[in-house]
Formats: sequence, structure tokens, C-alpha cells
Amino acid sequence: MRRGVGVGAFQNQARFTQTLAATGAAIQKTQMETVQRQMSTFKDNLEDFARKHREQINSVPEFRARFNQMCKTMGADPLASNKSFWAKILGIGEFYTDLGIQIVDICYTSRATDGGLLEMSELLRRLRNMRGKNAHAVSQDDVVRAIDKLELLEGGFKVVEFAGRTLVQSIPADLTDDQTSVMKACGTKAYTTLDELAAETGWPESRCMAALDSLMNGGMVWVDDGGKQREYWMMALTAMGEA
Amino acid sequence: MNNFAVAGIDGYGGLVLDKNDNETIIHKSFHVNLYDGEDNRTEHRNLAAIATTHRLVIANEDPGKVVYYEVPLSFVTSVTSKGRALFRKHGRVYLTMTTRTGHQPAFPDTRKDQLMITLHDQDEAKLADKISKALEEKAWTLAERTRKEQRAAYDRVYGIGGIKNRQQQQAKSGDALLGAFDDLTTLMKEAQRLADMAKTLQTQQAAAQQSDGNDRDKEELASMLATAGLVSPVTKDVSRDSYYTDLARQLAGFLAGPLKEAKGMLQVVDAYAMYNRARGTALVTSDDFMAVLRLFPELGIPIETVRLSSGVSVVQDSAVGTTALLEAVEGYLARFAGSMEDLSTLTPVTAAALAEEAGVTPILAKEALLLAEKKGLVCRDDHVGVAFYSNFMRGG
Repeated sequence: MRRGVGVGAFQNQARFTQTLAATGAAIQKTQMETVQRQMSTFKDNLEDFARKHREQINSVPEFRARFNQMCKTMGADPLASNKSFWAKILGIGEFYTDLGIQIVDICYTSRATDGGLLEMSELLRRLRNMRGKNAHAVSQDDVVRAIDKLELLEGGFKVVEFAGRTLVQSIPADLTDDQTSVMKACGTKAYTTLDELAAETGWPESRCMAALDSLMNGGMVWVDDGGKQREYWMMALTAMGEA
Repeated sequence: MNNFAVAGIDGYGGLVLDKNDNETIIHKSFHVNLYDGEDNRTEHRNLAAIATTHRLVIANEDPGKVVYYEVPLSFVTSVTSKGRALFRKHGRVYLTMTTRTGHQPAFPDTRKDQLMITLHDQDEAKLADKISKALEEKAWTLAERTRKEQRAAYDRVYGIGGIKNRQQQQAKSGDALLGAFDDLTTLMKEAQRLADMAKTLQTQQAAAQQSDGNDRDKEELASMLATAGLVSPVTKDVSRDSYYTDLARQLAGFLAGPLKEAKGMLQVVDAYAMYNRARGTALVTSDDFMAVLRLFPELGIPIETVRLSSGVSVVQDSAVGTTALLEAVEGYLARFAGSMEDLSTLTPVTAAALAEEAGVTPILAKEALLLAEKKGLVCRDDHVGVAFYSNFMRGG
């Protein structure tokens, strides 16, 4: 018997709202409890998993890649905090933190010659040398992920790609479009000349010089006056480490 | 140990043969006595002598006290027999043992290397004959050889055998990996469900916040989400968590020295690498590191994180600021940049040279020069590369 008018109606209305709020709170409480319960079950399962497969997580790059991919889809970052159960149970953060520090070391050592741009394959080669034969294998995917985590520290570390080449940058500068074009012009032979660059890009000489100068100032391009025409060498592309 | 090891016993009289080595019994003699060489004194009477392709086992015939001794035939160098004679009631079999280093002589309680068995049943010749045949066949070495070959095949890394072997190994670990992938998929599905649920709950709570905020619940959920790696600690209010506050104090203590050395300013990346290298284990992730740096002001630690114009982040001693760095530039200019009195002394200042002289990193040296430029201390020359000259026109 519902009353639509008068004081009774007001009272009804108030009672209704109250009940609604209480029910809502109760539902939320139940949900919270469910999530908590499931979280603890999941932790147990994760521990089981870690016991069984820890060796593979550490030693098989494909396995790590798959794991990281899945975490990404889920919106979880297993490498974010040491307090996360991924780190505590799987110990996966330690692997990448360690790798990141090794990458910092290598990039710093080579910066004097390459101006802070190192080719990925060269970095991988040096990493493997540094880590030794007995260390767990490292893939390019691992390196990219480790650098991704370094980016947060705002030290200029990032992976840049152009013309099918992957470079690791360790200086705090964004390459301009013009600079990138110069690098493309250097191509596989690792150097270009003013004429070549002008022919390739169709730029006037002044624009070419500006781009080359800016790269030179950053130490990324070295000048060689030994040839007929001044050659501009992109140090990152020369794979100096092979010598 | 001596050559007489206690043989494997499987209940009374049941000698356990090594099936893997194809060990078989070749002869049994009963009512034998065991002597220490030719010495007649012995306490080993009424025994059974069981010869196998691999060993001679001496067993007690009395079921009440089963005692077995065994002599591996590999230790026996020769076997001879003597039949009965005028003053000899029993036939005899002599076993001569090696006295190889590492192997004690034959008998349980003796140092002699000969063992004599007397037999009542007149089959001394037969026993000796069988043992001598077994000695020729050396069945135990055959078994050892096969084992060695098997092991060698397994360990082989070169040639076709090596390739095959490696393929087998890979197939095996591939199988294990496949299983691991399955497990991972299952696990991640579960994680996905959990993440979805937690996120929904969070949205609901955010919506309900206006009406009535249950702070305790919110905090709990936030901490749960961080545990699952669903929320970065950098964006989370972490100040209440002792993990971070403890880490902050430790880091501040650590940074004091390097900061002083580096003229009050360090790149965050460098500080991060340095600190983790000092830790060695239980490394701190970059997310946690940034979260901790952000806690410094709140905890009253006089180190601030500053983002420079070049985009690089540095930690900076709040008390020192950029003063020490600029002083280093001025000091350098006074010593190396030359003077207006003699123009031939004018020397350009590069970031690399300053870095070396002032003991800061090249990137920070460059930053210092840019800062000095802004303050009017130096003038830029970017003719070839970037260099700076002392600004002799500056007022003062």
C-alpha cells in the first residue's frame, strides 16, 4: 500500500534511500572481500608457479617476453615495485634492474665515441660479453624492457628506431626530424657528405649544414677530411666495437 | 672398508643380484669354512659360498644370524684348488686378492691377501673352475664398459652423436617450456580476472566517494592494486609506507657523499646506478627509486629532484643548489680561459674539458656551461662543436 502524497510519502522516500545505501555498501563490502580472497588464492598459485618455473623465467628470454606481454595486456607492470608480489615471488624485477644498470654502464663507456647513440646489436654484444657465458641469456626484448624502465629516471635513455635500425640513446636530447634524415642518409655505410645529403633530401645546403652541425655538436657525428670531400661519420653506425 | 662388504640381503638366503649388470649365480657350495690365508684359526665355520659372475659371497647358513660377506671378483687375481690328501680332510680353494691401494686385504679381520675356503662337499675343483672362468670373462668390466659408453653418449657434444644428443636435450627442455607456457597462460587468465575485478571495484569506490568515503577500504584497495603491480608506486601516495620511508632515509645517507664530490648535483640515472651497485642485491626498481626521491621534501631531507632545461633530471643538494657548480665553472675560467690582456691566451672551454677538471659528468658539465651562459659568465661558440669563451664584457 504505497502512499504517493503527504508526510508518509516523505518518510517512505527517506527509508527507501537509506535501504538503498545500506544495500550498496553491503554489496561493495562483499565484493571487496571477494577480491581479497581471490588475491590471496592467486598469490598461492603464483608461488606454486614460481617454484615450478623460476628457472625458466630467469633463463629463457621467450618465456619472459610472454610473461611480460601478458602482464601488459592485463594492465599490470610486474617491474614497477619491489613491493609487488611479482617481484617478491618471481624475482623478475631484479633481473631487469640488474640489466638496466649494465646498460647504463655500457652506454656511458661508449659515449665518448658515439655521442650517446649505440646500435642495439652492439649493445647486446657488449652486454653478453659483460655478463659472461654463465649468465642467463638476454634478448633484445629484455633490453628494450630494461631501457623502458630507465626512461623513468629522465636521463635520456630510450630506444629509437629509424630505417630498420634500432639504436639506444643515452643522452637527454630528442633527435629532430632533420637529424634523423641525416642518419638515414648515412645508411649502412655510416657516413655521408654534404652533396650526398643534399641530393638525398633535396634540402638547400644551409639546412644540410645546420643538421650536420647540430649532430656534430652533440658528438654523434665525426668529421673526416681525409677524402675528396669532407665526410660526416655517424659513429653509432660504425660498429666500432667489432674492431 | 675392506674387500668384504656386507652384501645386499633380501630376506634369508635371498641374495640380491644386480639385474642391471646381468649378474648371475654360477655356483653354490655349502658347509664351507673360511680361513684367513693358511692360518687355521678361524671363527667362520659352516658357511655357504655363492659364486656369481661378479663376486664371491659368503653367507651364513644359519637363518637366525644371516651374515654375508662379499669379495668382488675384480679384486681377485688368482684362484687355485687342492684336493683332499693324507692329512687334509677337506678340499681347499685359495683366492689371492690384490693389494691395490685403497683396498684392504681380503679377510674381514686380517691384513693378509689370501683367503682359503675349505669344502666338505668335495666340489673344490668345481668352485675354483667356475670362479676362474668368471675371472676370465670379467662380466663386471663389461657392465662398467657399457655404463661408461652410455654416459659418454649422453655427454657427447661433438659430431653427429653430439648433434643428436643436443636435439634430444632441446626437445626435452622444449617440452618443459611448453608445459611452463601452459601454466603461465592459466595463471595469467586468473590474474586478468582479478585485475578486472579490482579495477571495477576501484571505479565504484571512486564514484561512491562523494556520498560516503570509506578511507580504510580505499587505502586497502590501493595497496592491493600496488601489490598486483596495477598501480605504479610513483603515482600512489606512498608516504605512509615504511618500506619507502626507510629506503628514503637510507638513500639520503648514501647520496650525501657522492653529491658533495659532484659539486652538489648528480644525474638521477647516475644516482640510481650508483646506489644499486652499492646495494648489490635486493636492487631497487626505477619506479620505487623515483617514488623515494619524491618523498624527500616531505621527510625534510634537503635533496631535491630537478628537471633541467635539457630534459635531464638531477638530484641536487638543496643547500648548495647550483652555486658549487657555477663556482667550479668560474674557477675553471680563471685558470684556463686566458685573459683579455693577451688575446693569444684565449682558450675555449668545452664540456669535456670542464668535466675532467671539475670531476663532474660530461652531461652535467654541459649543463653547468649552459647555466653559466644564462648567467652571462660565458659566450658560446658553435663554429665546430660547442665551446665557450669567458665573457670579458660582463659587468662587475
